[in-house]
Amino acid sequence: MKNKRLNFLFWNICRKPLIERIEKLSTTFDVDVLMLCECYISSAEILKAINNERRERSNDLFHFVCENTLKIKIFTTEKSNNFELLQTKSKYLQAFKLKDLNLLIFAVHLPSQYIKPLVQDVYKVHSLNIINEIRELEKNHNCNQIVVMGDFNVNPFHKIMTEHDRFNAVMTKEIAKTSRKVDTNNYPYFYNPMWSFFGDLSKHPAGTYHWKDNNSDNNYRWNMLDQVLISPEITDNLDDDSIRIIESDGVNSLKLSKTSKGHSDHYPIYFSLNF
Amino acid sequence: MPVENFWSNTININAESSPKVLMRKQASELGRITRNLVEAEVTTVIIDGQYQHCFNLIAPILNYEKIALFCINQGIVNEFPLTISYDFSNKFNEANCGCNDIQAFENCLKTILSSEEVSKLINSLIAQSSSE
Repeated sequence: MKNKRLNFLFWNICRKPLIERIEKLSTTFDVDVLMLCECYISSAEILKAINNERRERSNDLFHFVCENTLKIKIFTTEKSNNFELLQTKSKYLQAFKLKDLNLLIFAVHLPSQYIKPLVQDVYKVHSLNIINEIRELEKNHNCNQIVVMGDFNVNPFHKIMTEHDRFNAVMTKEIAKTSRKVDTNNYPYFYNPMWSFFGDLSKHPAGTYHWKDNNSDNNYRWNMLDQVLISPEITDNLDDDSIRIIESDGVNSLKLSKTSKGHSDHYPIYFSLNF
Repeated sequence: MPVENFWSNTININAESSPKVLMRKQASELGRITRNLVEAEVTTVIIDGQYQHCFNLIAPILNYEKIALFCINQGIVNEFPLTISYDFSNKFNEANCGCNDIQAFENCLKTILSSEEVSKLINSLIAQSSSE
């Protein structure tokens, strides 16, 4: 399979009624894989909205892929016979496979540990379960082309993201193409491009989530809770210029707000893969 | 040493089953109309020396539930005559309707897909999907 481009967008919409913004984003960014979390808008409403304009101009309408009790929802423009829904045990994980590209795609929403700091141990268990499931599906499907995208609720430098037996995600493609040896075992890396987006020198916002208080564990103010992890086998397929934290749906600003009905407290993230 | 080819040069790798193509087009059209709240697929099996093509509705949001709308039986060599062996709309069940050519099949297909029964079924699937 050649000459195929896939555009991915993930957004934690913070239980807000942001249907018009989702529709606009899907059009503006020509999204192929749309992943939402904390999404209490019905999947039917979302399908109607994101296919509204497309049905007039394109044969590639969005299809519903899956949703779960945690309101992680996935839609794709890939044909129904080209994707396979994968069962996951963890409620923090949803997954499907694109058959033609032999690509495993995961959406993640881990629980917040800033609001309930005491759940950190539980958080570690959840993250361990998730990475184990990802590796198990990788093995079962004999497929090492993997995208993991979502709200991890920690920064890229958190132990959960970097430890060898967790996500083991590093900041450069070069390192990601090697592996990490601990004792006698080799642990494959993920590439985490969101490392490159911290601070003022990024062309984008300094994070995907802003925490106003500075008297808690989370005193960085800007946090990169929303991230994408890419397996080393497809880092060369990544369009580096495509990766972004989205501040506008193409018409209106997506300013962050915990309270306003018209805004989420997270920015969406976006990237493209070329095959 | 090259193998001598005994096969006829009339074998066409682009050969298509015209009834199945017609069914697939209508399956795609349903997705467009319902914005993929209800989708459709055409499945094919060989039973008793005949192809059986079934047109199934799928409601992805309702755990990908499937409902067979109609099935046609087609000869293993000749496309026609074909028979409609199952029809949810009940327009052709009793007669086990036969179609001698593509035009006749197109008319049968139109009768089934535009029927009140099918319309009610699709609306019900949309309503249930919207309630999830």
